[in-house]
Amino acid sequence: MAFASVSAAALAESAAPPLPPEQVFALDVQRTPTGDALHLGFNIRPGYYLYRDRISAKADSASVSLAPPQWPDGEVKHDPNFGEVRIFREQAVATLPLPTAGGEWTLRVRYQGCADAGLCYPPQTQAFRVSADGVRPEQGGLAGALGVRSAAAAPLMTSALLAEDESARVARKLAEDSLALTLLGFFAAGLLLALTPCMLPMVPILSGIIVGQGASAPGAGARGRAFRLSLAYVLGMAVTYALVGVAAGVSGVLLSGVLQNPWVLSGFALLFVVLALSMFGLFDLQLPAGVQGWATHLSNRIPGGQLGGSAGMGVLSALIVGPCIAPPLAGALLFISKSGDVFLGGSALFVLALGMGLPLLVVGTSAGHLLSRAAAWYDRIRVVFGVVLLGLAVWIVSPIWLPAWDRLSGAESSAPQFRRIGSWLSCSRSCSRRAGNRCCSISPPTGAPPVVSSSATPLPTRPSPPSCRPGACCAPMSPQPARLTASCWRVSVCSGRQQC
Amino acid sequence: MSRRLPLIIVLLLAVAAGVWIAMRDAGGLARPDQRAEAVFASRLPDLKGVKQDLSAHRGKVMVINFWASWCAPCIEEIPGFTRLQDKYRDRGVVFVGVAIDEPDAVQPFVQKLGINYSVLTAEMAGYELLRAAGDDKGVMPFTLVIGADGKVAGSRAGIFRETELDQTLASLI
Repeated sequence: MAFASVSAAALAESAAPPLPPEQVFALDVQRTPTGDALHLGFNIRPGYYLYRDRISAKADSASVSLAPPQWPDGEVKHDPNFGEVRIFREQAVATLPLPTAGGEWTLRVRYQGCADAGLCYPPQTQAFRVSADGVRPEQGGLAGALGVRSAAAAPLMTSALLAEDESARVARKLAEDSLALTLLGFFAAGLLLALTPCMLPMVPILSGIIVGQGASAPGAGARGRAFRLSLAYVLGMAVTYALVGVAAGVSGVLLSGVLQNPWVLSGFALLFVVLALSMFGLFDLQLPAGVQGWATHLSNRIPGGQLGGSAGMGVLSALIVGPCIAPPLAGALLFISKSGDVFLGGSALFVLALGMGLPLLVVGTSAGHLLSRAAAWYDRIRVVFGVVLLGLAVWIVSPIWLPAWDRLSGAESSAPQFRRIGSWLSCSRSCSRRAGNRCCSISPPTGAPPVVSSSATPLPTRPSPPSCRPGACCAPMSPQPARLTASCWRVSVCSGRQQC
Repeated sequence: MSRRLPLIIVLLLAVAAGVWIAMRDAGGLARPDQRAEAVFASRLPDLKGVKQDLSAHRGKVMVINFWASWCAPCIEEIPGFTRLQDKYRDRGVVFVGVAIDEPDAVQPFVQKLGINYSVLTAEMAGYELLRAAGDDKGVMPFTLVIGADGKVAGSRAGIFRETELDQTLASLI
């Protein structure tokens, strides 16, 4: 094993990789309500600090001359090598008087900080575009909006997703519990996952197998046969997830990072569209015939081949629905990769899949019985499945097309309502994918449902200090602590422990 | 045949996705050696500006420590490194400091801390090497231990305690 020579101490350390800097120091820049100054606000994760004297703000334009930001004093930290230094913890807000000169310019804020655990981040620079309309962070085009800046950014994305406080807390709690309790927890989580629409594609596939096999079976043993086939299917699925768990335990590579890839997302969405079209009856997938043919083919050679065919479909089904349940799966994978325990990883995800499969087992057994007498039930319900599958296809690719479409439509204000829904969708997707955070939403005073404003065209109902942007995750951050709970301030990355 | 075509498409897509994921995993497992090779492939200037080949240390146990003059925890752990360099110098262990900093800022610390191993400086190239060495967030201090077999034997983001590094080195020689 490649890791065999790693000392136990070093391994323990590498199990908890440092957080990416943008998860630790969240910088937000807002125009003050009076408009003559900017508020620079840092949200700093507990256990980390920023050096007060290493924060600088510069304008990229020669025509804009900035006074130095007025930071509070901060707290004094005594360092054996550097003497007394001033640092910020938790929050720091400075006022930066704006020059009277108008026009658009870019503000570059440079800062540097460290963790109490004994490591430092390199100096970070964040750019904000300042114009008459407001302030917005500079981003690198569509890729930036997607959160998939480059291949190199993917690991950061993954760790950002997994570094979120809630899942970290869950992971820590799980780590303290005994193995039996842990497995029980995973089983319960699996049961919950089974209630998500992600599992829908599995129902017709499994039903198909049972109808295909049950038709050729004598009536008396049909239910038992349906149960065995369902069990084989669920076990096939469970083994697949167990392998994923082992992979996570061995490599520490989190598969959810893979699932952020636009091409992978598009591929799976296409798959769901194909499945949906077959549900509408545009063509017949012939899953029953196909499976039956395959199973028959196998069973001619291998004893128990029909069960093997069912188990094989279980493996494929697990791969198919994988991206759909990726966000909740991420927490489980975080736990496993942090523990670095291969046995635990495999058994935990195996049990999770068993939990997911239990309803399938019930449906499979009963549906086999029902379907043998009333095939029409399946024909009616499958149109509903088709609609849900199409919806899932759209949902899977929404991080790709919604930000782009949102920007395009942001230029013309023809369909504000639709754009708001689009904004909210893209926001909720990117937020939950990125860090499990809530979206920036503001409640208009009229009592209408919350909307998410667009950066291109600010909503008229928008209250002046809080401003939101589609795709932004939010945390409250206000120069006045009294307003902390009331206002929602945009930050580039949510700290997770705070919410609107 | 045409009735089975959609099924075949579905199966091929699923298999392709599975293979892709499996390849990603394999990449993750193969990474440690790439990290060591990235170190050996580097040429960085020392404090006098003379470029040094890190591959010169191939075959020895090598501790490569990334630090900077502004990084308090980095400064804190360096005295332990100098003691271990003394202890293991005759047993084929070589320490290399890579300061991601300006040479002028580094020089006073080298004297003050009495660093008894070679210190190289690099800014952009140093960050690239730091990332290639496995520190994708660029945090410091970052320490990589490469065994005599040319494989990564351990890494640490954050302070590497003298006793722990001592144990790691003792197990490698």
